[in-house]
Parts: sequence; C-alpha cells; structure tokens
Amino acid sequence: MNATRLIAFALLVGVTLAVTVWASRRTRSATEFFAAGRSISGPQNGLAIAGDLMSAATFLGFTGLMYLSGFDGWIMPSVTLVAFVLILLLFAERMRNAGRFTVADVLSFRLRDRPVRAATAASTVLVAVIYLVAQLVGAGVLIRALTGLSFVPAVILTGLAMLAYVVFGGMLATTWVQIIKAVLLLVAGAALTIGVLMRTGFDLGVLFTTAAANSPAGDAFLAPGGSGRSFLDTVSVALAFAIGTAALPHILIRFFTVPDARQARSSAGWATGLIGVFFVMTAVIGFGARALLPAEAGPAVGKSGNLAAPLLAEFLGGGPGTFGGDLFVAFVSAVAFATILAVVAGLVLSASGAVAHDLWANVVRRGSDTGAETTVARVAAAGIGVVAIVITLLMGPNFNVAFLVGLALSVAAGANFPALLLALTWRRFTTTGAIAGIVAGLVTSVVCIALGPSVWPGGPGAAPYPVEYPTLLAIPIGFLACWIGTVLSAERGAERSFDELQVRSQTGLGSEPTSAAH
Amino acid sequence: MTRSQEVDWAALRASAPFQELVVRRGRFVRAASTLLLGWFAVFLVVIGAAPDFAGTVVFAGLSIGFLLGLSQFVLAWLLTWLYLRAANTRFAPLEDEVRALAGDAVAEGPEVAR
Repeated sequence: MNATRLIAFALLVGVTLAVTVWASRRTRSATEFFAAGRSISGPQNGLAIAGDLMSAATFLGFTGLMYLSGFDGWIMPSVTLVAFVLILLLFAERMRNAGRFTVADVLSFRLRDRPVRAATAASTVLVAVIYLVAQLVGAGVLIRALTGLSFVPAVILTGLAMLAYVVFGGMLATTWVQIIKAVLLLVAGAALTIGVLMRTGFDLGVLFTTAAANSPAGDAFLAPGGSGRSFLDTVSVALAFAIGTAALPHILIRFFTVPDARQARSSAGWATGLIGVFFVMTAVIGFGARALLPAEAGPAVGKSGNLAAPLLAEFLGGGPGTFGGDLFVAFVSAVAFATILAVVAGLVLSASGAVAHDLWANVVRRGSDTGAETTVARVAAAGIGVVAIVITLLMGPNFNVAFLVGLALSVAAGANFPALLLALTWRRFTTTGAIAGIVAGLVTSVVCIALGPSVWPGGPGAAPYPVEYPTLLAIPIGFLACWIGTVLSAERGAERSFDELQVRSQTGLGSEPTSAAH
Repeated sequence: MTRSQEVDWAALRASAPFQELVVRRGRFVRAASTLLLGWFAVFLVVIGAAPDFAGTVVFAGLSIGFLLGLSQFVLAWLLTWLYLRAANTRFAPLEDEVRALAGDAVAEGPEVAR
C-alpha cells in the first residue's frame, strides 16, 4: 500500500462526493436529473465533453502505446478529432434543438415512436454497459498497480462512488465531476509535458531522436508498423475512433445540458480545442517516456504500456523513493483515477436515460405517466451499475478489455451513426430503415467480434474475421440496411414530419426551454 | 401534441430564409465533411501504402507520418473555427428570421409541442 497515493485518492473522492451532495439538492425534476436543468454553459460543457474523451484509456493508453510502439500509437489520437468536427457539423445543434433527454428523442421525432425508441435504447444500453465493464476492469487493474489495493475492493469502491454521483446528483453532479477531472487532467498533462520539454532542452529533435535511439526499433520507432497491426486493423481502429466516437450516446446527451443551440455549438468548439491540445500533449508524454525513462523501466510499464505516464511522473519528480517523485506520481495517479470515476458516471447516466425515458416512460407507459421518470431513472442507474460491477468482478483482472472498447465503438459507428444521420437528413427515411440499420450494425459488430482474433477460441491466427475492430464492415452494413429497410417499406408518414424536424432542428423553433416546468 | 398542429411546418420549410439557411449551411457542411474525411483517408492511405515514406524524418525528429497526424488536428481546429464563425454571423440571423416568421408564441411557450 502506498500512503501518499491513497491519501490523494481519498481526497479526490471526498471532493467529488461534496459536489454530489451540492448537486443532489438541485436535482428533482427529470430535466434536472437528465440534463442538469439545461444550465451548463458552452465552455463548461466543452470541458465536460473533453473530459468524456480524455479517459484513462486515452491518457494512460495512448501515452503507453506511443511508449511501446512509437508512431503507431499516434494514429488513434490523430484521428479522434474527426469525430468532434462531425459532431459539430452534424449533431451538436440539432440534438439540442430537437431532443429532450436521449438520442432516441431525435429519432422518434419523425419515426414511429415505440419501435424506434426500443431499438435505440437497446443499443444505447449495450454500448454503455460494454464500455462500463471495460472501464471498471481498467480501474481495478490500475488502482491495484498504483496503490496496492486488490482488484475486488478497487472495483467495488469505484462502482460505489460512480453510483453515488449518478443516483443522487444526476447530470449536474456527473457534469461537474467531469469538469473537475478535465481541469486536473489538463494540469497533469501540461506538467508532464513541460517536465519532458525541460529535460530535452525544449528541442523536439532531441526528444524524438532520443526516443528512437532508446527504443528497440531504432529509427523505425518514428515510422508506421511498430505495433505489428495490419493495414486493415489500422483502418478499422481509425474508423472506430473517428466515426464511432461521434455517435457515443454518453457524449451526444451532453448537448441536452446547455440552454440553446448557440451554447451547443460553442461546447463542441471548446471540446475540439481542448481535446486537441491534450492529445498533442500525450505525444510529448508518450515519446518523452521512451526518451527519458531508463531501459530497466520497461517491465514496470507493463505489456499495455499503461504505467508509462505515472512512471514518467515519478522520474520527473526526482525518481523513485524521493518526496517529489512520490508526490508527482500520487497526483498523476489520482487524476487517472478521477478520469475513470467521471467517465463511468457519464456512461451510467446515458444508460439510465435510455431505460427510464425511452423504455419505461415512452415504450411501456406510452408517455402517459412521466411523473415518476426521475425515480425510475435513479433505480435504473443503480441496477445498471450493479450489473456492470458484477460482470466486472466475474471477468476478473486478466480479462482482455481492448476488444470491449472496439465492440462499443463499433456498435456506436455501425448502429447509431447511420440511423441518427439519416433521420436528420434523409426525407424518405422510415422506421423500418432505422430499425434495420440499428439491428444490422449491432449484429455485425457482435458477430465480427465473436469471429475475430480477440475471442476466437482457435487463436488469433485462425480467426475467420482477421480484424480486431468490426467497423470496416459494420459502418457500410449499417448504412446499407438503413437504405434497404427504407426502400422496402411502404411507410410515408415520416416524410411529413421531416419538414417539422428540419425546421426545428435547424432553427431551434419550439426547442426545449432552459428551465422546463415539470 | 398541441402546438405542432398550429404551426404550418411545410410552409416554414418552404420559406425563403429557411431555404437560404439550408442551402448555405448544407454547402458548408458538405464541403467541410468532404475535406475532413478526405484528409483522414489520405493519412490512412499514406500509412498503409507508403510506410517508409511516412517514416521519413523531415526535421527535428518529426516524420512525415507524424506531421500528417498533426495536420489532422490543425484541419479540425480550422474547420471548427470556420463553422463557428459562419454559424454566428451567417446562419444565426437566418434562424432568427425563420423563428420570427413562426411567431414568438412557439419559441417562447413553456409547454413545448411534442
């Protein structure tokens, strides 16, 4: 057990729980629970969205991949901003203008309410739970490595904090936890970046050449191929981050928390700026870890490279056993812990909205009884959280979570992205088309993962689908199924309401007010 | 489902300011998306088809592939800035015009149509 780090973790949990107590007093109505009363400003929401993306997977994972495989680790951060420009151009303002609490609101606007809500809610819950398990497994492993606390209590403590934020504090607490963590993470990233640059004399040439010289690959460290991924794998991963990220429900629902479309686009703008700056810093940190850490650090960094950033912090602070080193690594570790807490809370909230607002209030009760929606949402959040914690504990610390992230992003890219885009832009689009697209994108993703190298029982080499991420197939199949379903169905009502959706989504006419009366 | 019946959405959609908004924003979104996804494709194709070229160090230890990756950030920031500027100066006034055509009752009403 490491005392400094445990104290840093405890301090962080204390602050975020205080925020939750404050937020719980302001969270009564459904609009407050799901959308923070639409009171979040553009820059605040931009920070929160950036926080959703700057997860442990991107902070520790990307820096680790750059430490291990050099250039190949730089591909994922480079393409992720594509998703945020797509969100700004296609979704941000329209989500705010045409929806209330969930992605399904926008689809069901012009399509038949119950079937399309059920399908969208199912894919939202699936994405959230898969992503949640991936994050919780990562949390348990990380906390164990950083503090010495074992896997089971680490997962349970993380899960309980996450449930407290969501169940009591709703979107307001989730958003502020996310903002606090985003600021802390940007500070930690900047401190590490400046530390690396000071050690390399603010000379990028020194940084990159030393990194290459210290790596087993030599000059090839700065060229593609270091990870051993095939070209199809690289393209699939890039598509997952560039397209899938743009349709992640827990990111899209953030646009419901701002007062109007102007703040929605401003938040997307802030997110693009902040995430970009952060990802450029991860390059300095990842390559810097390779340039500065002694070769003996290799085994401690781990097979996934996840501990490259904390070890770099220890080195920059003065080395192992020094006060500065201990303090810096405690800070970076606590920030990494905070990113997990904040991201899992957002995931639980998106799933609870799909269950309470879509499935319960609109599919089961047909919109007749929405008074209890908030209560149902709190219960649903608790239920989903507990299920995810139990699955995580059953999977255990050695479970390969990389394919879970691939599956979640692929379902978002193949099932959610085509249906949402076409509902907003294609006049002829029908309910049958939407459901066909969602089901096809979802099934393709699951089948490709099952037949893929990550889980195929015969070993990675024998897998029938040789690529790790299913996006290369799931995205075209999702779009194709939307089109086929639409062409084959005789439904015409959707074209009339398309006029209304167009005017509403593009002008904000009749959009949900800032403080709705409930 | 009260107010949506009171507004003639088809007429609003056919109105001059809305049509202008759709044309202008649509043109911007199509051009920006094409550029964005095109440059994304160029990045991937260079990595896949010419890994040696991508690995060539241009200056200060920065390889062509690394700089192409960095250029994705620059393009994303540039398109974001251009869109925000266009939305605030050109699209927002048109949105206001359309909302004015419909009357303030719809935009301001606390009981919003669904």
